[in-house]
Amino acid sequence: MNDSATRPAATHPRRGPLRALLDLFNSVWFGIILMVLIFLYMTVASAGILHPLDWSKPFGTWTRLVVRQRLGLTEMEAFAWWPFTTLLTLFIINMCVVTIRRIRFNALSAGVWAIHTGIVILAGASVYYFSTKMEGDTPVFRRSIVVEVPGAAPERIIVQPGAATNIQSVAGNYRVAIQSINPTWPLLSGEDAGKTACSVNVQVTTPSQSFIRQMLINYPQYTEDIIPGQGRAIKAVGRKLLDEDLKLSFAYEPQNYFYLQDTAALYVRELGSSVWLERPIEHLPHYSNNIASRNEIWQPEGEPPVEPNPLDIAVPPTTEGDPLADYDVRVTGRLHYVESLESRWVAGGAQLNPFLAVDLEYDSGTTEHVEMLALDSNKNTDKDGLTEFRWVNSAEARQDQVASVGNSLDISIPAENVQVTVPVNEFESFQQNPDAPFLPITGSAWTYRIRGMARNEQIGNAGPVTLAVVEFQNGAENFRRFVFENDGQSHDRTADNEVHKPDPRIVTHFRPGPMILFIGGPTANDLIAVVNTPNNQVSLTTGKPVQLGGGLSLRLKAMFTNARIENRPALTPLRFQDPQAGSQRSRIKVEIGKDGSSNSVWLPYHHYPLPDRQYAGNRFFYAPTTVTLPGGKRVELMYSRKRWPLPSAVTLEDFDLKTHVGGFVQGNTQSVRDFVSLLRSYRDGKWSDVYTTSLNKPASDQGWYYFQATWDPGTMAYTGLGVGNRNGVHAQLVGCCIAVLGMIYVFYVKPIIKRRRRQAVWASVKTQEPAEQREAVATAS
Amino acid sequence: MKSRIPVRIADAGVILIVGYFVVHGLTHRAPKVEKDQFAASVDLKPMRDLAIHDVGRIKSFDSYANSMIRSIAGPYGIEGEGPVYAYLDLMLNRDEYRNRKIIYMKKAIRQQVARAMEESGIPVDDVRTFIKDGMISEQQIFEPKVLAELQRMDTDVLRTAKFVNMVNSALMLADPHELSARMRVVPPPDGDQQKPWIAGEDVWGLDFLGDGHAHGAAGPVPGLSPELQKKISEQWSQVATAWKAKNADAASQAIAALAGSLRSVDPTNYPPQDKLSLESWYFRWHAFVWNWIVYIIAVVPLLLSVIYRWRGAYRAGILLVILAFGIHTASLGIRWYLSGRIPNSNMFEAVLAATWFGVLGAFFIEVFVRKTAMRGLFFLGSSVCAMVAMMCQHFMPTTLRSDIDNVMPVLDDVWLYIHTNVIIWSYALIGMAAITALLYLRHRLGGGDPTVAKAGGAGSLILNNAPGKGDSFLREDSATWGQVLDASTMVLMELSFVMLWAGLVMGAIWADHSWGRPWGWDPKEVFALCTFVIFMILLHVRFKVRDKGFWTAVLAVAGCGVMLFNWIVINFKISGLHSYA
Repeated sequence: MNDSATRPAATHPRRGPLRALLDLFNSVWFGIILMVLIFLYMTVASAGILHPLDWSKPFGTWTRLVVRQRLGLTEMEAFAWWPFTTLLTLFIINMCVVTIRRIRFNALSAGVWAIHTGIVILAGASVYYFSTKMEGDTPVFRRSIVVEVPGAAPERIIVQPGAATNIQSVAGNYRVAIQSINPTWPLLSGEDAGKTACSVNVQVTTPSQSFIRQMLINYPQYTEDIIPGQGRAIKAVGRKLLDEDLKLSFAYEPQNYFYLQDTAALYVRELGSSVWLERPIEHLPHYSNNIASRNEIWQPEGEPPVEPNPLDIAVPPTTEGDPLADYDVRVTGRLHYVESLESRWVAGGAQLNPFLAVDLEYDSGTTEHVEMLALDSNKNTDKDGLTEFRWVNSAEARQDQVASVGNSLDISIPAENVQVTVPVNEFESFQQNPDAPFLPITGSAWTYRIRGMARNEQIGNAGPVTLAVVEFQNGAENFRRFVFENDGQSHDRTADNEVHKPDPRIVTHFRPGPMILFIGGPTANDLIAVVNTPNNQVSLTTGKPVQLGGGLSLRLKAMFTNARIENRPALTPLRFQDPQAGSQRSRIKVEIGKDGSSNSVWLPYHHYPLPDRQYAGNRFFYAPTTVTLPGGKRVELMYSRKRWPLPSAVTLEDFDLKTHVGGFVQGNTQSVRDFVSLLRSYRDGKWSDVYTTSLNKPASDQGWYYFQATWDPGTMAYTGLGVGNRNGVHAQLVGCCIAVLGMIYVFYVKPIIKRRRRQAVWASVKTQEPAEQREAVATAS
Repeated sequence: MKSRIPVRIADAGVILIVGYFVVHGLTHRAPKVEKDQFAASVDLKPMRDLAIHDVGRIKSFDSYANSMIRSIAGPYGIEGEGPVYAYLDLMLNRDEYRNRKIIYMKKAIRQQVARAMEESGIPVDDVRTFIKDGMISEQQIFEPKVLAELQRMDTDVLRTAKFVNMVNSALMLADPHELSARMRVVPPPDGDQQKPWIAGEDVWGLDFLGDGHAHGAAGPVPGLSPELQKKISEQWSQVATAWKAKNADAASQAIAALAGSLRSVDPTNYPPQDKLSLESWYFRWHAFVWNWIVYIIAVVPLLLSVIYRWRGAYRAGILLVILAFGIHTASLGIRWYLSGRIPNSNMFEAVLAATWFGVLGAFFIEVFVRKTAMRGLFFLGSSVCAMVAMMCQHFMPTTLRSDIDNVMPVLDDVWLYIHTNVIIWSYALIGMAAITALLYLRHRLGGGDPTVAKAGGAGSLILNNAPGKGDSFLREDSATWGQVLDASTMVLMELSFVMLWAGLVMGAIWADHSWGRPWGWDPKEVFALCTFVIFMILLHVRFKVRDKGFWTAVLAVAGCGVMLFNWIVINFKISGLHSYA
């Protein structure tokens, strides 16, 4: 019998949706579920999913699927993404509702209230912190040098090794170049003896002389010239400066911007200008490859092809004077890890231009790639003549070509009127077959055997040579002849290794030919390889290796009859990609259009949009791309990061490297104790006093923090400052502290309160019956 | 009746695993070649206690050689010889080592290399030994097929390049020129401590290498008197000659004389003899990582004391824990003294310090619980954690390197003392909580009572001393096993909960002024927070579920798992801003 049939129906009060929602948020279980989801989200978003590389070998190598990168999110973005913020929001609401509705506000519950309140404050402050967070970095250079030449406008060059300028004055051409920088030049004399200074050696070439001017930052009184080969000018000619008219002086190199992390921007300028104008690129993916067609790129072999997934991001101008203001500029592609722009041959040319690509694979595991163009006399051979590609228009012509393969040795014995031509097999050598028999020379008593050959080998100091080694024997007479391609170098060696001129009784001439001759034509499907001798012909199929003997095999990669060359970005194979590289190897495709026509170009990533190459030194990548627009206008483009103005211009007064005992060991930061940047800011029309930032000791300027991020280990010509704001951190800290105080209260104070209450109860119930005592104590607990 | 077979299997499994490591640890030694008379009798003590400049530190030659030989030959060293002997012999008699197995390869690339070795015709027994111990000779590496395989793996940046780089680095370090160039044993004669020390070869030249090149004598060393330079050169020449001739007496005398002369270059600033000797001694005693044996011996009476309530076993356990903790403290103290900084700035030191804090914490807690049934459990938990940590140090010496180096500049801050110690202390407590939680789960798996500590862990400690004996549910005579184990887990979990949170906040304060942001969702930060979230879940689940003890134990173990994941996988496999810690 059904129970429900016998019982009166339960009369539940009907819950409205608001009440149901309130009940949901009033549930501790709901909070627990949210915490579990938050835990899972954080785990997957941060570490990704670990799994065996090969599922059939679960204990083999494991790899990691970085889920957030698949979704195109950086760490900061992954934890600011709506699913996570929604979870956190629900959790905070749940915690507030449960606290207010279920936890009494009294002395015993004060700890829980404190913990929950602390977390709510932390959450609120974090919303403010993360929503206003800006961070990035910037290089601040130590100095530039102002070059003043009579009769010419002053010029500046940055103090970076290699930086140089040419100044044309009425007196002629001056060239000034930074030769070297020594950041720890010891001052040996005068009142500054014992100190160190940053010394800059400037190579100067005036219309009349060349010398080096040594300048010390902050010590202009010690500037002096050095004459190459003669030493200090003061000693050589009696005065410190050789050219008093040439004035070189240090100047600060202010930095006005910093560059925001994980952002992208296009920088443009007219060719010849030194000022970059910024066009921010919004929502550029961080990790993906975005192409319109697979034909846009070169993909690594054996990897899954990149699926077309083009971008279309408008990049409008944001500043006046933008040279592309009249053009439609869009980002239509992005590649995450590019090796370089490479020119390769593809099919589809308008004219006959047979192209062949093969791999020579050796048993040792090495592979050589060979590419040849049959009709180009400069490119129809490869590997120093080892391989050659010829194109024929008929089957008869092919037979003629077959006969010309291989190396041959002409042997003639004038006394006996004998003349023979014998093949020289490049695969065989005496080491491989030391017992090879002597072969007769028909019509003569002499016999011979080939001991080996060398092609374009460096032997001694004679440069690359090609030769065959043949051994002749006649009865007891035996000698070896080294027959060079250049007959003048040929010589004989006796069994005792004595060297003689070639024995005139035997005349030899060595004719090296291609070891592997590829003959294509007359149709696109006709391709044979003739290996070493005319009889050894193999037909080739794309991708299929053919054993040639001697530990060598041949694999046809491609053959096009009408080849044309294409320039595309080549992706780096996955196994070569450095996971720490970030966007450093990325490129974007920019299309510049106007009136129906457009130019497109792949731009490489630059960490900083430096004004010119001289700032880059040996540390930064600098390769702006020049584009010629219809009408002849030429502009430069650079792909980098968004910039943001610093609160005031900053310059580097000095950089101090503090080291452990023994000083700095190149390439090893464990010899370093601290990096200290001495900075100045430009405020109220003047440079401020020096302030410092070093590891763990940031400086601040109008709400922005500068912290020591990177440095230039070679010359200390610049410092890398991290820049960031930190709105709300104090409120975050207050929340954290309230929470931790609450935890201590809950775990270690509350039990004391409970104990005291229990003691009080014990004192009052001592006289009661045991059962009543237990009940009273239980109530007190 | 519930079957006890799974419990027995689990017990047997634990005993077998621990037993294996004990037997392995006590019996496994480097493949040793019979020492020749020279190696056995040459006196290297003066050489061991020499000072040498190595990347920002002045250390004892023994400590330096130990680090170098480990970089070349991995955990076993070279044929069981001491590091100083191996270093000098490798430098002076390099040709004798071409065909000897002195290069160590990590497991990650051994299978591929072994295949190439087989294809090269290297005897199968040799290949099998290589797979087992990773030792390979230079000649074997330069077999064309082995070399080609290494070159191939070198291009795989994601998986194998790192390990091939280690092999390349080992080959480079094993080169006598490199060994010679790094031997900076001559202090700057002018006493300037900011100058690098001078390599011996700059004083005595390179002719001793006998590499077929005529190097000639070294040029004059600025500041060093020509007489002293000549004397040192002659003494080194005597060392090299006697060494190559295997004349132990002559070599010993020459080494002693050389050591004296090197000290005389700058006797004022030369590091104290006692400190150098202590450093050498510390490494000759393998940085005390064998202390796990003392801890495991302590675990036995502690287990007996906890299970059977034997007072004698408890006392014996305490004595052994005190002994182990004393060695542990000495190990940390010596490192602190030698390095001149707090010893918690690399993985080896963090593991050592964390477990030291764990045992220290156990002493404090045991004072509170000495009259309860929880007595001994905290010693047990901390000893097991310390034992496991030191076993890791013992069995993975190339991963957890014991070298003493300078602290990374970014870590050189007061927060290294505060944040790092609080965090690793909380990690130790989490590990200890996992031990008591596992004991609880084992108790329940064996059909034990499902009782729990009703008053909560920390509270129960205090309530124990409340007036009226009736309110202490953890009295030895009345508490159940379930209550005791659950209470212990809660005591540890609550402590770690507070410390982990405090440590996270301190880390954020440090990060704020070090990196310019208190929180950057770096993997290490995230997983520390994940560990905390697990304990948040634990506390709230404990409110709601019926079987509180079981879920508390499961989540305590899960929290420990996340903590270990953070410490091991995140540190070694997923790099982030904390990759140095």
